[in-house]
This record gives sequence, structure tokens and C-alpha cells, in this order.
Amino acid sequence: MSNIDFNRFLQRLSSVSEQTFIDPAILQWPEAVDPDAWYFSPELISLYGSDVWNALDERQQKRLSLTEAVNFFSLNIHGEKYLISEIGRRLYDGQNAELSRYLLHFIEEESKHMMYFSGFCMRYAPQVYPDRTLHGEASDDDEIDMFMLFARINVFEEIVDHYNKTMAKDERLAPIVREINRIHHVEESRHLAFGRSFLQHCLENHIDDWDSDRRATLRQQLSGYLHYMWKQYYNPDAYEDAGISDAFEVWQSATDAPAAVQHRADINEKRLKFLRSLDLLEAA
Amino acid sequence: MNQQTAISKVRTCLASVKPGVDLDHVSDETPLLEARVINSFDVLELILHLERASGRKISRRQLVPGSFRDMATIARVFFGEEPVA
Repeated sequence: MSNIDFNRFLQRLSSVSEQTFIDPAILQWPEAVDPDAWYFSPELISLYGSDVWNALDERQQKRLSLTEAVNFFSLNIHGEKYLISEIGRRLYDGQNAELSRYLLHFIEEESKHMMYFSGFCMRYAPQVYPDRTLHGEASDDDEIDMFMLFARINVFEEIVDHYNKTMAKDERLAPIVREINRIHHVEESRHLAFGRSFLQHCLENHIDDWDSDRRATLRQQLSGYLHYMWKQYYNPDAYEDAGISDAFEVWQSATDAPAAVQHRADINEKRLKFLRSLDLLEAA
Repeated sequence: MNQQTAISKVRTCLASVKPGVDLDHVSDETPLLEARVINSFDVLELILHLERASGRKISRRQLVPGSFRDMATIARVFFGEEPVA
């Protein structure tokens, strides 16, 4: 994609963002949670298919679905906070004006997403689970840092979007959860399109100066991030708040449970094809 | 809790997160991130183990690379009476 084509693409994205503004006030918040409702698709719950899951009765599984929703929304809040700060400090800092213009929409939409997610967590949990991410130090190459920022965002958003799409359609779930997931999916579709084009555009521009060693390093870092990102889906706080005994021990064994391993492999295979096509992730 | 007991607890937590690493060759002052004993992605699991062992939740102010500089520092941050970070 040439610079001219990339700028036209950014202009189109900005126009769509301006014309399809979603007002956070459209959400209809119930007074309280219904203990007989699902708040997370059972098949997406981190313990689904494990011995612990199978030992829970349906009421307990539904309670876990609520704390898993709070964990999922909390992860999104912390991820969005970080990317807003990282993108914000680069705006109009030597980059092209169309890119900065679109990134302002990106930031505005991510801010609204935090309103939906925190609105849910603070009403019904009432808490946002703490962030335990230690962000790495910046390198001495801002272009590489920007590239890796959007590569990590792409990994995160692709997987989150799988959850959003699934839960937006899941008629078992409480309407408020379906609606939050639906709205997020709609706006993230543009962010995903932007991220894919941005990464491709960067790689095309650096085809000669990012050698195979550099690309191998990027691939290694991104694989590490993917592994890390999945770890965050398993949160002992969520298990404890759902009333699961020995929550810490459950957490320690949760990621290695066969059903969990298969679940992550299936989603990685389905949603990370683009990054593999750019040789930014190993083959599944 | 004295500093040596706290460091011993940190070692146990670190061993749980990095079972393949021979910690006998890692001193209390070895810079863990710089020496690649751990990377920033390992810190999530390490924090959860430290929170469990200390009975304290990490604060946002403590979530900086300096808190994880070496085992002696981690011991002060997570088990000291007055967290340094």
C-alpha cells in the first residue's frame, strides 16, 4: 500500500468514526445482577471443561460467569488505558497528520469502551480487577516501538473480538452483556482494519532495513506477548470471588488443563492468521 | 519479618514461576530483568505468588521495573514494613 493509498484509507476510517458515533448513554443498565443469568458464554470461561468446572453446579457456574466477565472487562480497561497513553504521547509528533487525526478517533472510541466496561464492573462487582502488567522499557527506536505497540494491540484485539462476536450472539447471556460485546465488536472492527493496514504498511516501508535478525526478534517478542496475554485470562481473584475454594491452586493448574490448551490453540489458529501471514508469529 | 526470611519467600515464589532456572546461582542482588532470569511477561505470575505469600496486593505505584530489580528489593517491596516503591 503506497503512502497515498494509506492516507486515503485513514481518511475513510476517520469519516466512518465521525459518522457512526455511538453514545454510551444508549446502554440500559439493570439495577442488579440476576443470579440465574449467564454473564459470560460458558464455553469461553477459563475453567470450562476442567474438573473444577464440572464439579460446580449451574448456579456456581453462573456466579463464575459474572466474575469472568468482570475479569474480561478489566483486562480490556487496562489494555485500553495503556494504549491510550502510548498513542497519545505520539500524536502530531513527526507522524503524518492523517494518522494522528485517525488516532484521535481511536483514542476517543477506546475511552468510550472503558465507560462500558467499567460501568459494568463498578455496578455489579463492584471493582475493576487490578492491573498486574509490567510494561517493558522503550527501545531506542520509536518506529519499532510503535510497530510493536500495534502488533500487540492486534493480538489483543483479534482475540477479544472472538469473545465479543461470540457473546454478542449468545442468547443465554444477560442483555447488557450482549450489548456491551456487540458495541465493542462494531468499533473494534475498524481498529482491527486499521491495525492490519498499519502493520503491513510499516513492513513494506522497512522491507530493506528490517533484516531477518530484526524480524526474528519481533517475532519472538510477539510470541511472548501472546503467551502472556492468555495468562491474564486466568485470574485467581475471579475464582475466589466466585466462591471457588482453593482459588490459587485452581489458578495454578488452570492454564495447563487440556480443555484450556485446546481452547487457546483453536482461537489462535482462527484469529491470528494475518499476523502469521506477515511472519510475525510462528505457524500454529 | 526479617529481610533474610523475606528473601527466602521471594526465592520460593521465583522458583514456582521459573522451575527450570537454577536459582542457586542467582544472588540476592542479581539484577533479575537485566540478567534475563525473568522477563516482564513473567512478572504477572510472580506478583500473584508474591501477593499470596505476603497477603498484600500490589499497588500501582509498585508496578514498576525497579520493584523487581533483584530478590532483595522484591523482599523489601512485598514483605517490608514500609514498601520502598
